[in-house]
Amino acid sequence: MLLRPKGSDPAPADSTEPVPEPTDAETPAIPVVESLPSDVERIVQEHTDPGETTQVALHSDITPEGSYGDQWLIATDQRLLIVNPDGTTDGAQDTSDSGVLELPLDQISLLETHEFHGLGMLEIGTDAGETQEVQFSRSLVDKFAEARAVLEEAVKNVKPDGKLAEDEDEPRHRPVPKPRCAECGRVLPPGADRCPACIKKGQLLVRVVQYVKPYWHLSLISFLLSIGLTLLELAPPYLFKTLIDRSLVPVVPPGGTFPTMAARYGVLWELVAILVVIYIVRAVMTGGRTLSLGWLSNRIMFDVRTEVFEHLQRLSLGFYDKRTMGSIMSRVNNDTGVINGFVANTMPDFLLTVLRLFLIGVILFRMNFTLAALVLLPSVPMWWMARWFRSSIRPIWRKYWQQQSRISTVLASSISGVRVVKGFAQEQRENRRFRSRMHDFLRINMRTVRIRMIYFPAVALVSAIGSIIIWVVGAPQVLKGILSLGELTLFTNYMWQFYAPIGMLAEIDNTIQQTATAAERVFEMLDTEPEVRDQSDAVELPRIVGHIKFENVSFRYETQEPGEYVLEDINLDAQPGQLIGLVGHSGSGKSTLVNLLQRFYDVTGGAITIDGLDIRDVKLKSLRQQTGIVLQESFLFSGTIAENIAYGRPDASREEIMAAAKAANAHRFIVRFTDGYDTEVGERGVRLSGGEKQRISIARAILNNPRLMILDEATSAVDTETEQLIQEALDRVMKDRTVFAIAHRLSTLRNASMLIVLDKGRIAEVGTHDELVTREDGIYRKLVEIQTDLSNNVVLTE
Amino acid sequence: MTPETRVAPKPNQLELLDPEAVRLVKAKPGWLSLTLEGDELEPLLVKPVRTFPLTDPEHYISLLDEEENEVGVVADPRTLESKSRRVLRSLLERTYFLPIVEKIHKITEDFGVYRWEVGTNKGDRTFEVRGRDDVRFVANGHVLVRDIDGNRYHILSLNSLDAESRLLLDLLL
Repeated sequence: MLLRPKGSDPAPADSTEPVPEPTDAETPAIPVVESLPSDVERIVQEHTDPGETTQVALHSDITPEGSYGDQWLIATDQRLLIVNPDGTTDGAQDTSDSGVLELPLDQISLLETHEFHGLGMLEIGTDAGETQEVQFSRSLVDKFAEARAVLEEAVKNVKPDGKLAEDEDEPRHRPVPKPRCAECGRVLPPGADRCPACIKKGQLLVRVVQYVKPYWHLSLISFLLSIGLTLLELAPPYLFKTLIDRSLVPVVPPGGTFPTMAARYGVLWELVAILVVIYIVRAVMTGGRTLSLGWLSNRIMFDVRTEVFEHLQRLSLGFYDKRTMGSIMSRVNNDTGVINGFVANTMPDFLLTVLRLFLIGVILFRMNFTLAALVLLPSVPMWWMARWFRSSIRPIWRKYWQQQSRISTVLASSISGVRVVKGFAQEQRENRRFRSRMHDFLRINMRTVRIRMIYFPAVALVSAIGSIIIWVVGAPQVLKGILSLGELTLFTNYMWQFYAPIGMLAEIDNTIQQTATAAERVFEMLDTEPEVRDQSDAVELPRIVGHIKFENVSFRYETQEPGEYVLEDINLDAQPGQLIGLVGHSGSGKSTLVNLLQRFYDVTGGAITIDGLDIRDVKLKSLRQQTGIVLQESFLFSGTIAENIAYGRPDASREEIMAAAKAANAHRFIVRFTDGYDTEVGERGVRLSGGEKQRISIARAILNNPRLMILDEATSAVDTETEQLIQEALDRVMKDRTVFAIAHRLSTLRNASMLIVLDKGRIAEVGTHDELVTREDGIYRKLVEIQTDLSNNVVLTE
Repeated sequence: MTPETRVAPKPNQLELLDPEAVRLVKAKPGWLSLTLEGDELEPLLVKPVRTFPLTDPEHYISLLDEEENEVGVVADPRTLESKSRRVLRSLLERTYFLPIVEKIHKITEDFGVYRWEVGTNKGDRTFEVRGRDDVRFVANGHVLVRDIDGNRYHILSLNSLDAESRLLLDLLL
């Protein structure tokens, strides 16, 4: 029953491999002593002597039978116990009673963790050659790895000879960082860097509001206009009330006289005049508010987006490595939009709504307390209903979009794969597939219909309660003379104004949450400082002569664990005018090496010097202006060919542009275009072949007249004929410059002054082509042989 | 007329022709015959092309031979001897037809097809443009318009138009 992965046979017991330290100073220790339930505690006490100290007490969630259940791995400084409270421990020879297995530590000869498909296992081998296994789910992988290390220490302590079999190549386990919040332990939502529950919303919103500050006078104007408008909106119903009570059905105070017809007309015309003025003022103010808020909102959008974009330009490549292009774009586009929407729309709307509700409340309550209380009461159930509606419709909307995109997927695959569909006569199957998707879509749509079917009539019904209350309670009061007719109509009108914004209020917390999350993402980015930047005393790099030196350079990406390197012990010395070829399997660190040379990243250890100057001590701009790079996938911006060639030197003359194109073997095809150098390329322009694009990007590099040239697989993606043209161009470029070239096709590098073969981040071989190709068992030789076989190209072996 | 017997430019360097030495005379439509003073070889048939037809049409005229190899570049035709200059200019005028729009009278839309009525340096013209992709900015402010038949119209820049025309155009860009 022994499950043993390949290569995990216990090593001979006399292995002298030193045992690594159990914990790295930089990785936080994982606790491996957990509190035990009482029954397990009792079993442990039965099996141990009082003086023993517990080293490990770990719960495993998988039983030896392989189902979910409880099992405990306990180790003291003397012995190891595997407690299985619900059953018998597997391989029960050593058990004194059911469910417990005891092993003295000094009999242990092997401790190893394995990862299988969906579960992990700790293998414990004894001197007698027996093996015990403890299985655990993936959730516990880190804990058991740590436990193994602790156990190993404990075993070494009791085994005086310190012998413990050790699998030489077993990689040290590194805990995989879990996407959990450091503060509250919640799992982070997809795409989030910080826990939405722990975000200090208040602080964030305060920072968001800072964007209004430069335009405070403008926002003050909009705010005053908004308040004015709110008051004006409340005015017409009040005027109508006055019209009824003083003109149409005059209320006669006790002891007063009924007003004359002339007086009643007088009031009417007076009110009409006021109403006309109000409507005119309102129109003007609405225009003013639209203008000031629109200006404010767009200014803020402008400020936030440009700030974010300009900051993005400053950030180092390391920032981009950790994120997808989509997530960065979404920050610039969507998140800034959310922030802007909050500042310019949600916040003012919210303040005004609160103000309006307050004013209506005050007016109504002062007029008739009981009626006001009764009429405004339905707003409470309405609020709850709105919340119910939002929370039930939101997941359905999400599902709706998901279904929508699944339909697009089916469409796209059956349309773009139409030849395959027809070729295999599977039209009916595609029809079924599409029908089934459309059916899902129909169902989800009907679910929203059903929710709307309940919600909207229900809201109408509840608000009708308000009207009915006015009739039932208010109308009798009019008859009794407690309430005037005008007041009754005022109640009706204000009631609707009061009910209307309740849906918006029910949504406000959600809006704030969204804004805070978006703001968090944006500010996180704005707060990131570029990792690679000029030091305060950075000097201009003088014109590069071309003496480039790597001294003990090592490098690891920030996301990697300490101790793991992409490049290690890199030493090389390039002389001016030399062509240094970098060769190696993919992933061996070639591109990283040239990235370091351009200082896209800073080295982790060692130093890179150009003409004796450490590249960390020079100004970035002066370094990069003197380096030119040609990549495998040449990137052209939308613009004309001339603009693309002059990208690094926008002030270049037309003659210089043409000379560069000529040197890059590009001039010939460019002049054949109707628009010549003014031909538009990029997304909407003419389609260029890979080789043509490549030659334009070489021209771009040539025009920059770099002193240090980097070719990263510059000729890999083109056909052989084009490669020759490009190679020719490159040969010209390489003259009197130091060049670092990475090439997959080794023929490109046959003239290299020095070839550096990288293997797993280290320099494996150094020499010229002729030297390396004769080296028995050399990596380079093998690569050459493979390529010669493939292309039957004898150039390489000469 | 094999190229190797001709002016043999250095293969990958920009060859600016000495304007004093260039002699151009008319040949078949679209072609001129080139002789270089001091060069005893027989005349060479060349096709002049503009290298920057939009941004700098009057400079850097590339002369291509029948195999489309570049014989050389005339940096500034104005420095040529007067007869050659006239011959070259008239040929370029004939082979490059790209009217410059000076005034937009009217743009009307009908089902996504735009009907332009414009005044150009070559006279008034009415044409139809399909969709917005056929009106676009190129080379820093130049606007190229392509009609449904593939004719092109050049607008030097938004500022080259009067306010009225600019307003009409602005909505399409």
